Amino acid sequence: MRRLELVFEPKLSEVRIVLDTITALMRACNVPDTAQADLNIVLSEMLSNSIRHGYRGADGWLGCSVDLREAHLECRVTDGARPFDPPLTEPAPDPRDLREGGYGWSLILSLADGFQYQRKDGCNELRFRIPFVTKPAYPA
Amino acid sequence: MLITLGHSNGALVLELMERRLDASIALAFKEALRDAVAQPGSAVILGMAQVEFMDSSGLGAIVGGMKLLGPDRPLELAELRPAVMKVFRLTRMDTVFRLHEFLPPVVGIAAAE
Repeated sequence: MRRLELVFEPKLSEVRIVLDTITALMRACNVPDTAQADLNIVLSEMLSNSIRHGYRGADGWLGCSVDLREAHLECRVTDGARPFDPPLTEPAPDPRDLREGGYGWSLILSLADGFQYQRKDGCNELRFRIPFVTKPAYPA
Repeated sequence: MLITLGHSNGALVLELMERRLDASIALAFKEALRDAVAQPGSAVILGMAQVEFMDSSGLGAIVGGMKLLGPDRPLELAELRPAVMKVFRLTRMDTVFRLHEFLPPVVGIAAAE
C-alpha cells in the first residue's frame, strides 16, 4: 500500500500544486487514467468548496490523503473550517438552464463511492473511494 | 491564456493554452474570453486540446462565456480531452454545446495575447 498525505493552506493556487503532486504519484503507480481524472475532479470540487464556502478567505489548513489500493483509491479530505451539511443526493442542474454554478456536488456524488462526512474533534472529515473501473457517465 | 488562431468560414477560432481550467483561473479565463471575442466572427470555436483537466468552476466559466456571446453567436468547443469530456457528459452540458472533434483549418492568423 502507498499513502500520500498533504497538508496545505486553504488557497486555490495550492489546490493546483496538490493535485499535480497526487497525479504524479498516480501516474508513477500506473493508476488508470479514468481513476486519475475522477480523483482530480472530486478533490478539486471538495477542496475549492472548503476554501470558498468553509474558510471564505480565512487562514487555516486543508488536509488530503490518498491510499493506493489494488483496485481503488481510498481518500480523505479534512479541514478546520466551519461544520457543514453535505448533500447525500444532488441532481445535476438542468443543462438548458445554463447555470454557471451548482455542478460541484452532483459531480462529487456521481464519481465518489461510499461518500461519508463526519465532524470530528472540531474538524470536517470527508471520506470516499474512487474505483479503478468507472461507471459510464450516462447511457449513450 | 487564450490565443486567437484566426477565422474559419466566418467563425472566430481560439485556443485555450492552459493545462487546467479550474477554480483558480476561471475568472481570468472569462475575462480573456471577453477580450478575445471582441474580434468578429459569426460563431466562436474554442479549442481545448491543451486542457487536461476542468472542474465545475471551469465549466461555469465556459457557460458564462456562452451567455456573454448571446443567442445569435454560439460558442462551440473543439478537441476535448477525455477528462474534460467526462465533466461535460456528467453534467449533460454536452447536449448544450456543439462539440467538434477537431479544430477547423483557419485562415488569416490574427493575433496572440
